[in-house]
Amino acid sequence: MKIEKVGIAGFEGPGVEIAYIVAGAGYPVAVWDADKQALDRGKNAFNQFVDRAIESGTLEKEKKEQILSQLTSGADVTLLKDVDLVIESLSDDLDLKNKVFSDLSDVVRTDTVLATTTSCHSVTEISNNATNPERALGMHFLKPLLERKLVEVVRALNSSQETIDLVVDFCSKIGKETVVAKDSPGFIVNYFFVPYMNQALNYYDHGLGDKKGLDTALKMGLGYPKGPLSLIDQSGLNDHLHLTSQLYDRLKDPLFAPPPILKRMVDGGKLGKKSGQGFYKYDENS
Amino acid sequence: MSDQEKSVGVLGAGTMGSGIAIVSARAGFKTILVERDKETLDKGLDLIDRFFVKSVKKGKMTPEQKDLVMKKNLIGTLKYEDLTDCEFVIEAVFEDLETKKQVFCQANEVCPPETIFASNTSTLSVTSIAADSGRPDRTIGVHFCLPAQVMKLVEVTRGIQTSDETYDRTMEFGKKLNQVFVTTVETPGFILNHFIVAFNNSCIKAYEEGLASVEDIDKAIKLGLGYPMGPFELLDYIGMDTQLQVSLALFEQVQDQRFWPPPLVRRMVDAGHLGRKTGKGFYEYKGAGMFGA
Repeated sequence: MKIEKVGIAGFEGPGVEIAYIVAGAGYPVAVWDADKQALDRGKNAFNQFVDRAIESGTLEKEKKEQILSQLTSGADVTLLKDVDLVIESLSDDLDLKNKVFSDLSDVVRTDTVLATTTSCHSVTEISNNATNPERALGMHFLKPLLERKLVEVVRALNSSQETIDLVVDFCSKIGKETVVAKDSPGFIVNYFFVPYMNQALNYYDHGLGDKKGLDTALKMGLGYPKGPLSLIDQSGLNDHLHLTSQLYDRLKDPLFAPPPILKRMVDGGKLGKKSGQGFYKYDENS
Repeated sequence: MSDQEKSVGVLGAGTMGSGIAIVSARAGFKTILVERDKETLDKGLDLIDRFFVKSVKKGKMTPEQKDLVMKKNLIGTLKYEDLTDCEFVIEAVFEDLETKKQVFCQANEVCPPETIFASNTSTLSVTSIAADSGRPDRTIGVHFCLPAQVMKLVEVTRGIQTSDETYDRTMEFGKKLNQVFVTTVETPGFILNHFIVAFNNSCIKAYEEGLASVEDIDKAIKLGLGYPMGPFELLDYIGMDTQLQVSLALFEQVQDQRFWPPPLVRRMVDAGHLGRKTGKGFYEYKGAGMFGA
């Protein structure tokens, strides 16, 4: 079998970006989201991606109609009954993902591949809610999705090799590179990245460096795209708190323990760029 | 490539010393590269020459500029006496407290009182080095990043006794060198090594424990985080002997397990799999040269 038609469950945040990437590669995409308001917001965001891509010259103007016509969306899950692959990109709540995998199994064909985009939960646990766990796995897209080339294809305990191969091949068709990772907490990237970010937050909290010095040194000295504090401002302090808390719960390794400053800032409403302030201040137009 | 008035001394013609000498000579400083071992000196000068040949090829400097830098600005020597005119003396000798103290003591005997001693230490205490340099108030840490000839960043670290004047003159010097000098607190590893040593050890440990292959970890880090090199590519460049040594130095000071070298580090050092310099580390290499142009 080949992947010819793709379904996406969840039309917020990464779901919109994934829909754009997959549609942009020429695949028909069916997006399901039970929340009608989320669907409207998602459609608007999707249109904005298309317009911005045309403005920046990454997309030809003539392709606009084509991309928009490839997208169907709705609040009825049977919309996904014909797809070959469903990419689940709902908010990172384990109970929700477990339930949706079970619900999706009732709708899709037995050979349809179910992929979860979770970054911090057990892919094996989620996969085993599917009727056919050998057709389930993880597809962890790295943020920012349009910029980073990587997808970690996560092998759940019961994923079949055929399913892995199918998804690796699909990723290359949508312009992504892959590594096949074990279903171990944090997979590969976050297993290294989360302790690094926590170390930076603690280092700053302990007064060992000022913001600019820390960010400049790590950016210039190690060639990283951003310093840690400006990076977490961009991605959201609450998202990192969620990620590191979940991983800490599973690993009980102090390197993953949520740094006190992170909790403090999230409690104080300083979530980063999206709330106007994190470690740095942002005005609405930036 | 203007002519600078003052001279700069660089102690040690290894990878780091040669890189710093390139930065200094390229910025127009008369640069005295001192090495006690003739063979190491010649090897260092040869690497520097090959680096500038590449710079000319890439159009970053003209052949005339290269001649000026190599023949006029850069002087290799075995004698500390040649350091007498230096405004700054930067040591980049082996990362060992006694060795560093000893080269500064030797320089202290020949340099005028106003010369500033700058240590390129990455992991040792600037205060400890300064204490026995003969001029603790005029000693400071200036940690260049590897590869020094390519990376713009320098961590500047004051020891307890470093004077304000020494600090101010050092920051001025940074501008003339065309480098970005960032001030750090004197804490083991400063900023960069505090992060990168722990990060690299976590990657080695995870590889050793079977999380993923060397190639997959490198690919995941590069493409997933946008880092310029994967951890194992970087380690092969740094050298496993250096990784062992900096890990032990940091661990000794902070007793934090993140810095303790995973067992594989010692095994690779014992086997001579040090990285690029021995032709084999996590990857295999043919031919060795200097990074960048």
